[in-house]
This record gives sequence, C-alpha cells and structure tokens, in this order.
Amino acid sequence: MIELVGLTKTFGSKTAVDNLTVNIRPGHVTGFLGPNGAGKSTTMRMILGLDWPTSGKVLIDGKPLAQTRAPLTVIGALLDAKAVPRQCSGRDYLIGMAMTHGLSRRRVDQVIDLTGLHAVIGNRFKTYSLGMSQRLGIAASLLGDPEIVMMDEPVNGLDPEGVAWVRALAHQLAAEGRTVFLSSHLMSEMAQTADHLLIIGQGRLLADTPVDEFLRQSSEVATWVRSPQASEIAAALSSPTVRATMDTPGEVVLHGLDPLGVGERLAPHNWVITGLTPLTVSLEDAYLRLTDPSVEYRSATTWMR
Amino acid sequence: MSQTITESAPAFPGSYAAPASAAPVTRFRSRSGDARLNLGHIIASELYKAKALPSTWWCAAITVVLAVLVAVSAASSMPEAYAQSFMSMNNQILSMIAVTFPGVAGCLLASVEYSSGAIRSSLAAAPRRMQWMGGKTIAAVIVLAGSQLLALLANLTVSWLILTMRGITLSVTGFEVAAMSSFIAVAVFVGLMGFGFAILTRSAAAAITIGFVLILILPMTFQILANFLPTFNDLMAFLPMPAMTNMSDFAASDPAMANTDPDATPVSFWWTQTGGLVVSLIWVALSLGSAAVLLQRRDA
Repeated sequence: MIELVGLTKTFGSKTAVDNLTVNIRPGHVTGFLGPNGAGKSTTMRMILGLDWPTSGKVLIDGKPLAQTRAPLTVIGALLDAKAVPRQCSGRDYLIGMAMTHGLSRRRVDQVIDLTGLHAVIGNRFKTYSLGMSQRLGIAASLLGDPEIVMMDEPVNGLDPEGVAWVRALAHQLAAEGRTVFLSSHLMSEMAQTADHLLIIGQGRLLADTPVDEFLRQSSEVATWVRSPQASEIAAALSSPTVRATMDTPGEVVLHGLDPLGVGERLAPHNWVITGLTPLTVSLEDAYLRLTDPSVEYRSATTWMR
Repeated sequence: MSQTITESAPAFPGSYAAPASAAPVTRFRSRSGDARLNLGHIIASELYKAKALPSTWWCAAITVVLAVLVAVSAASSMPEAYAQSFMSMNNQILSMIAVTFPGVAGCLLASVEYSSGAIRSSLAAAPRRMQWMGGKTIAAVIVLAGSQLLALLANLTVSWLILTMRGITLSVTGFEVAAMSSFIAVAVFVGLMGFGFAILTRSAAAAITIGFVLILILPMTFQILANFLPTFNDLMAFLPMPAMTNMSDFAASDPAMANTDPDATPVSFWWTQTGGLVVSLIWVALSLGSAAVLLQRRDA
C-alpha cells in the first residue's frame, strides 16, 4: 500500500502538490487523473523518492522506500519510457537493472516474453518506437515481481492491441493482490481500466472514489427527445423538478426525467416521437466538470470554428 | 490493514484476459524473495552498464591506441646512444595521456545517466543515493584503472618488441616502473574528478570544460602570471595537473638524485610526491564530495 501523508511539493512560488493525503490500496487498479500540470508526475516521482517533498511523507507498506531491503520487489515503476541510454540495447538495460538486486537472467527473459519484445530486445534503444519503449518500460517495472506497480501514462504510444494488453495486465496484477497505480489523460481508457480514481487539480485532491461511485455522484437523469412537437413537449413537461433545454430545433433534453418518466408524461398527448434516448454522463464528462476550475493550460479553440 | 497475507498464484508467463473482480482476499507478496539491493550488486550492475556503453569502449580504445602510438614513435625513433633514457621519455608522454582521456571517460560514465534520463530508473532501483553513488564510483575506478593498465601493458609490450627488433635492450629502473604504475592512480584520480563534475553539473559538456580548464588552462595561466607574481609558482602546486606530476615523480625520491648542497632552498612539502598525492586526493574528494552533497539534496 502507498500512503501519502500531507504530501506537498513547491517549486519556488509554485505549489505543484498541495497537502495530498491518500492511501493507494492493494487489489485495485487506481487511476490517477488530472489536467496537465496538476502534479501527477511530481507525485509519482515523490513516491519513488526521486523528488524530495517540501513537506509531508510517502510510506510504502509503512516505511520510506529507501528503507526497504529490495526496492524493485516492492515497487516497479514506469515514469518515462524514453529514459534509457540510446546506445544500449533493451536487454542490456533490463539486465543492468536486474543486477542491482541480483535478479536472474531468467527473470529478465520472463519479462521480455511477457512484453513481447523478443524480436527487438537486442537492438539499440535509439531504434525503438514509442510503443516499443513503453513495453520495455513495463518490462522493467515488472522485473522485481513487485507488490506495487506504478505507471505514468502506460498506454501512451501503444497500438490498440497494446492498449488492450495493458488494460488486461493491470486487471490481472490487481487481481493478484498487487497495488496498481496508473496515470492517464485518456479518460475513456481509465473508465475501462481503473476501479478506483484519484483526481487532482492544481496539486489538490479533488476526488478519491471508486469509479462507479464517481459516475453515480456525477451523473444526472436526463432524456433526449426528438419530435416535430419538441417545443410543445418542452413547455408541457417543464416544472420545478424538470428542466428542458433546446439546443437544436426539433430536439429537447429533459433534465430530471428518465425515458420511462418521459413516456408516462407524454402518454396523454398525441405527439409524434421520433427519438428517445437516456443520457448518461461519461467519465470524461464527469472528470471535465470536476477539473474545469483547476485547468491551468487551456487551449484556444476559436480558430477551429 | 486486515487483509490475509498469503502467496498468490504465479503470474508469469500467463494470460491477462481476466478482468479484475472485487478486492482480493489475498495480498500479493513478491516471489523474488532472494533479491537484495546491496553495494556488491550495484557495482556489478554499474560495471555491466559501463560495458554496454560504446563510449566506455571508445575511451578505453583511444587510451590504449595512444599508448601504443607513443611506444611505436618513441621506440622506433630513439637513437641507440640514448636507450637508457627511453623509459623516462616514454613516461613523460604517457603521463599526458593519463591526465586527459580518463577524465573524459569519467565524465561520460556519470553524464550518461543525466543525458538519457536513466538516472530516474537507476535511483528508483537503488533509492539510497549514497549507496548508489558509492557503487557507481567503485565501478568507475575499476573501469578507469583497467583501461589504463591495459594501455600501459600495451605500451610496454610494443616498446619491448620494437626495441628488441632493433637490437636494443629495454632498460627499466625500479623508479620508472613505479612512475608508470602511478599513472594508473593518476588516471583514476582524473577520471573520478570528471565523474564528480559530471554528477555536479549533470552535463558532459560542462564537466569536460571544467576538467579542461583545471587540468590544462589553469597551469598555463599560472605560469604566465608567475612571470609577474612569483607567488603563482607556489600556488601552482595546488593545481591538479602539477600535483599529479609531483605524485608520479619517483625519480625525485631517488637518493642518488638528492640535492646535497646544504645551502639549497628546501623543497616545499607541496612539491614533493607526498604533497602531490595529498593535493590530488583533495581534488578528488572535493569533486566527489560536492557531487555527493548535491546528489543527496536535489531532485533527481
């Protein structure tokens, strides 16, 4: 288990991580979400002891990582897939890392098998694509058969087969009782991979919740209706508990009503309904709604219009 | 936490198709139970990493090739009448090689961690930073000493072969052998200074520039300044290159070379072999010590 206790990191006047206190538990795939600059990577570097916290502490199974006897067996991490000497081969990189803990060449071969890198593992790293680098980084993170697997943007650069593989791998590792901690900008991916979410914005914790709970709390009942009488429907069904919005002619969204409720209320009327769809909030929508106030780097979109 | 701690099923190789269920009743324990992070493992790992880097081989190869070239040119051009002073001349040039290329090799051994970003995976695997730096430093000493030893052996072998072919007997005194051997220490010291500067600056270019200024530029500058201010002659003893030259000056400790003139000005301690060794060690300690302090304090 990873425990972050009042974890804070400042760079000059900028606070990258602000008093973060959370537990990342074994047996779960915990997704770590946040906009660019939210402090995800800084937090992950502090967990590994690469960056020193300004205040607070990180405990891995109750103690700092540096005090563990064999850190690679405790936590395996992929932070930057391209952080490998360009001239050395993938195999040399893995062997060099394995040797720090006296791990066998057999174990190196196992993680190479697992990540499907046999064909290129002897090539120099400078010839690796981003996807191959990601797989090498994942292989390195699994070398010590660790209790905690932490990956920063693990599907970045992977093809669809690779994305599905990482998803299944994360599920399997968590099912074995490991702590799996993944960051991603791909909300749709996280919805399929994580079962628990940590969301931060401007270094502060915004949510620490199971995915289902997050969706349930963030969702609202709404139904989209298409009809030649959309305006009449909007007027007839609007009430203190039902809000109707019409962004497109001939279509109305009824907030606060599910399709059954809409059907019941429209039954007495002789109106033509050509479309009726329940609206659910996606993880993407819920996430954007939650983090919107803390987005630091916002794109200009006017040129696209 | 109240979870049951038991071994779970082997994971590798296996299928990852099964989706996660609810929180498991067992908590995972690594099966790499005999794995240990220790200094010996770090040294072995760093030696393996150095071996895998082409720059290590290039620096070693250049050192050996230059030592062989020195042997070829000195042994083939040496007039027979001066054969007695062959080793003295040979050593003078070898000492120049010992204070240059090992410095570059030392820089590259450390700077590759920063140029590639591999420092993050290195320190993630070995989070006790001083232990990691200790292991890497010992590995650097082995690489630097090994390549210098190889260069010296190649130089001696080629010199002996060429002189023998010319019918000249290679004459080597004990002092000359000692001086030659001390070049291994010089190469290690210079290499460690470069190694420390590279960790300090996190840049090969900056580290090589600092080394270049300290080893080559400052002695020349001090020599020029000494024409106006004689104090610079004394201060020069505290620069790395003169200190390492003093350290290797075994001829000066030869009683036969001792100055017997009772009115002669005694040689300052800092210009003796021991003084040279002390100054050299101080430079190495300064470089490695400041690198260690920064490595420990700053973010990786």
